Amino acid sequence: MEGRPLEQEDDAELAERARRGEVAAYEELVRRYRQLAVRTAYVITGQSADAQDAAQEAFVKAYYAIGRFRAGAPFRPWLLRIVANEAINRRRSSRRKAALALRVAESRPSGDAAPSPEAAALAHELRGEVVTAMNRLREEDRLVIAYRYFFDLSESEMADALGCARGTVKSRLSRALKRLQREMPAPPPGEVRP
Amino acid sequence: MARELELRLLEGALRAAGSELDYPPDAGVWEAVAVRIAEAPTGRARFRLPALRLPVLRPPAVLRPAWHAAVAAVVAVALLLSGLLAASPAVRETVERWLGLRGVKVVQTPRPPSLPPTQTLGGALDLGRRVGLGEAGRHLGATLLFPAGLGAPDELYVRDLSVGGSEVFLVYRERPGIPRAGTTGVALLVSEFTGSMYRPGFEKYSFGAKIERVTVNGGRGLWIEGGHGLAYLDANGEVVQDQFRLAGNVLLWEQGPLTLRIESALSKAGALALAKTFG
Repeated sequence: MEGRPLEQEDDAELAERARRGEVAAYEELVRRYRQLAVRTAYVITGQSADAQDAAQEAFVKAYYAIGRFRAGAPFRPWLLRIVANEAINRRRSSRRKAALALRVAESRPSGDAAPSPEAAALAHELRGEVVTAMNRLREEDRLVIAYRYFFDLSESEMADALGCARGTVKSRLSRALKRLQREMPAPPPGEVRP
Repeated sequence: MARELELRLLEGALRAAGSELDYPPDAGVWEAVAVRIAEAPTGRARFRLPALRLPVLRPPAVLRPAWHAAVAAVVAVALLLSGLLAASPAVRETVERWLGLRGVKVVQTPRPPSLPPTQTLGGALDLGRRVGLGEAGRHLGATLLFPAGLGAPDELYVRDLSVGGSEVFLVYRERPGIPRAGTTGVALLVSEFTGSMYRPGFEKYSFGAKIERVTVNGGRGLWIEGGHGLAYLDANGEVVQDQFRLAGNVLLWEQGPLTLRIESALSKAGALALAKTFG
């Protein structure tokens, strides 16, 4: 094992080394998951600095808690659970509830054949409405939707990250989507969405 | 059917929105975490530090002048890396925190390999591009300084710096007054670049060396004896390695807008005397 670059170690090996006191192994885990941690926190807090603080705090807490981390368990959802808790606490204690925002840059090619300008404009509008509706949801609903559709977690990862059974994940997601749909504006009669 | 279509549209819109959210940047997360971990390493018994005995150190006072902190940093890192590189990562993290090297990945510079003979004096020394006198001065962006009494340098080189700007090298072969330094035929290597060696984020660490603060031509400097490399922390927080190319000593100082460095086998007195002649 000596001399193998850290980038090639899997999460389980890195977590085990971190448990044994190797800070460098933990650093590699942080580098792997910092983006996901900050983004998950952002989905909950809606605010950039809070999200970064929550992610940092979560990584610090995870470091000290890594002795409790079960060897061989998946690291990512275990970490996300800590991140989500930090972010939720932060949002709850903040007086102003910040809102998610879309990046300003427009006219991004989706990778598929270029849609017509009208279709592209409608698609953009729909994304805006989706984000507006997300902003009206409770943190728990935003989180489960983000885990599934923003970050592509598997069902079993979602169960670990949310601390619930797999069957519960399905029903929580389904309820969250229904609440999201209720927050969406109804399309005007006759309009066809792309 | 309509409901299912609506759901699919919603899912598609969600995925697209997820990739277009204005997410915050995450670049500095490890650095912030490393500081916190180093500050309280005894969060768990497993990470408790062994007792650490480094003669020079105590945790820096809150607001020291940057100069003192920088010199202390150089001395301490030299001690650390000359003898204690095998110390555990937790030990190193704490020392790094003491030194204000927050989040810096301190790397050990390997000894320079023995160099094969080449056509040019400086060709194998990784000095960048060979240039003429006029071009060197232009790249430097300031007046190039020369030591007196040695004649013209035998070769000049220019190298781009990761922090921006260029470093100019003057290469002198052995000649009276300058002892040989190593096997390359180069007796004196002068480097010059625009900028302070202690501007924020640009700090030098020397490996395995004796380091002393000196004053040269009214400017602050360092005398580094027996070292074999330097590492810089550049503006991006990346560690940039710069080997000592000759088997010699280094005198480094600030003069006007420049930072100068001379590598040679000169003694401290000899190097200081030579540095006084730069103009």
